[in-house]
Amino acid sequence: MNTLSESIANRHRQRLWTLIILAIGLLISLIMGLAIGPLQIPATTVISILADLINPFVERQHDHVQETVVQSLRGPRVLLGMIVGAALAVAGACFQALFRNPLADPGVIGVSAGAATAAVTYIVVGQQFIITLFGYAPVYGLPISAMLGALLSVYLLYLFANRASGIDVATLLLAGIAVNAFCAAITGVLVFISDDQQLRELTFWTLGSLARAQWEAVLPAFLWIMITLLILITRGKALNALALGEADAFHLGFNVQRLKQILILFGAASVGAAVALTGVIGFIGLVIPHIVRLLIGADNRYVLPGSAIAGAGLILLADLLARIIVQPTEMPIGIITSILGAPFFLYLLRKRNLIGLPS
Amino acid sequence: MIETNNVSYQVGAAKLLTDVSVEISVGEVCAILGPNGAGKSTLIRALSGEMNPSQGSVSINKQEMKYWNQKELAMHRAVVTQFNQVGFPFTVAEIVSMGLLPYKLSNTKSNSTRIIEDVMQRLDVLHLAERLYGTLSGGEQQRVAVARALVQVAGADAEKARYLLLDEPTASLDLKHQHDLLKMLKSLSKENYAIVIIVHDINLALQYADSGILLEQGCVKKSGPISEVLTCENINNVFGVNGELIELSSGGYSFHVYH
Repeated sequence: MNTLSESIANRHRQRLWTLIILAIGLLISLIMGLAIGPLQIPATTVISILADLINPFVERQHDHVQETVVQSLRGPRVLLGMIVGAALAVAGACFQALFRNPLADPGVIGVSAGAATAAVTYIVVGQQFIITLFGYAPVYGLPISAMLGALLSVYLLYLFANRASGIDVATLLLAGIAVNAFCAAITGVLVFISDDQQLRELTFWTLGSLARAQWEAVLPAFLWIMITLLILITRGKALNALALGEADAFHLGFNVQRLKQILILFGAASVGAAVALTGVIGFIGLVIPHIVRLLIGADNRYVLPGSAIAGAGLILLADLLARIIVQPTEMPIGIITSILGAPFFLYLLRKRNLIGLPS
Repeated sequence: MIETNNVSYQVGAAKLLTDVSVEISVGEVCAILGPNGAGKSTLIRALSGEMNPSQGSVSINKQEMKYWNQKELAMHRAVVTQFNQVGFPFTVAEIVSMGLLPYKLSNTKSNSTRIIEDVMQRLDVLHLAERLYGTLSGGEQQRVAVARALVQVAGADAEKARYLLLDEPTASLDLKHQHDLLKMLKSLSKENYAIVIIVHDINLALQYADSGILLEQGCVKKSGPISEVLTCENINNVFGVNGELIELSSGGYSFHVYH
């Protein structure tokens, strides 16, 4: 018979190992993402090119084309995929904790749509408007619009769903439907008035793609998302307390109002930044935290870093699929994640008690 | 000691509490009684600091609530609320361990599992440790919630006064567990605890409480020693129920309702 302390220690060890295995999986996905494509590059070559990047003192001779493909084409693309996947998955886990509902996902409740609609509005009318007004376009106009759009959506949802007795789940999901429908209508109007060039851009926003990765855009985004992730990932203890209820978290000594502000602000910042870079990639924020919880339980001190790692890995695999199934062109990655994610969502609804919903 | 000074609480036009002045001392079990909607939960929310009264003040250890540091307060008083739904697949052991969240781990690590194990044993939930909280029955969940609150204050310095506020913790418990819980709270009160508990069962209050607060429509109808609070006359006035107090051969009284 196990004593409690033994079983707690076992569980701790088991969760650490799961995190390590997830990290190894991410590393393998990373190498696959760099190696596989129209030009196949052996994994060993990819590793040695990466090693050279890290250690500039060793000069090894590489095939020039292969080196360029890894460093300039696939490099920014996989980095973009990883930060976007991590951002969406962690934001999903945080929104689920904020709304105390395991089905809250930035896509499902309309936060991604809010970000995308704001971004599209900026492209079609906003940018021109600002140029006429001030004579120049702001540097980060697009990502800032996307983040504001995400923030507005979460805040609206929170206002609607928050009741004296706690978050009303039905209201949350129904308000999410309304936000999604409204955003779709706005996008529809924009499609109607946009020209050919803009129209192509709009497809990118609604279906999601990593195809536009370039170092100039990816590096600042990397810094930004790393900061927001760091702030969110360290809230594990507070999110555990919040799972008991807002009043209980308060009684445990947490500043619940500030915690909720942080979750809304930085959750929206990560989703907005991710959407600004890649358009809407659905279901990552829903599927990943659940897979992680099935593997290591609900303790947010592990769920948050686990989601970051698994989200980064899953996006890389989905992008790989998007690149190879319709060669020589590629499929928008949002289609892949939705095809996989929507049935999983239904499966979760069937297995309610597995994810902690009352059956 | 927890005391309220002329506490009133108003939401819109509705007065939920009016001029409530009570005090609860360390070493006693205090029962809050009253009909549905009398303001019992609101009073607990005021005593715990969760809600700021519209008028009047609440103080713990002679220090007014607004001057307490939240973390510090969390190491002295724990609260069991009425709603104990948890939307995520936490195990029972994880939920109970959350009672230690206010503490820095380094201070408690050595004896933290001992405290958790001890409390879980006392509330008869140790055998459920590995189960998912969401799969438990209502009564089991309630015992786990009490265990979590108990761990929260049990981890504190035993020299200091500790406060445990419970909102209808016996609502879903079976007969045996109701009495086990109250017996345990009663013995805790002797270990430098003040226990405030909302109960509907007059006989549980008569049997275990030292003092009582009888509420009616947000006002204190009567407070003081339980035998003075729960008289036939008061019960009749507040609940509209006729009955008699029967002296038991084992000591104490039992309230019997007339048909």
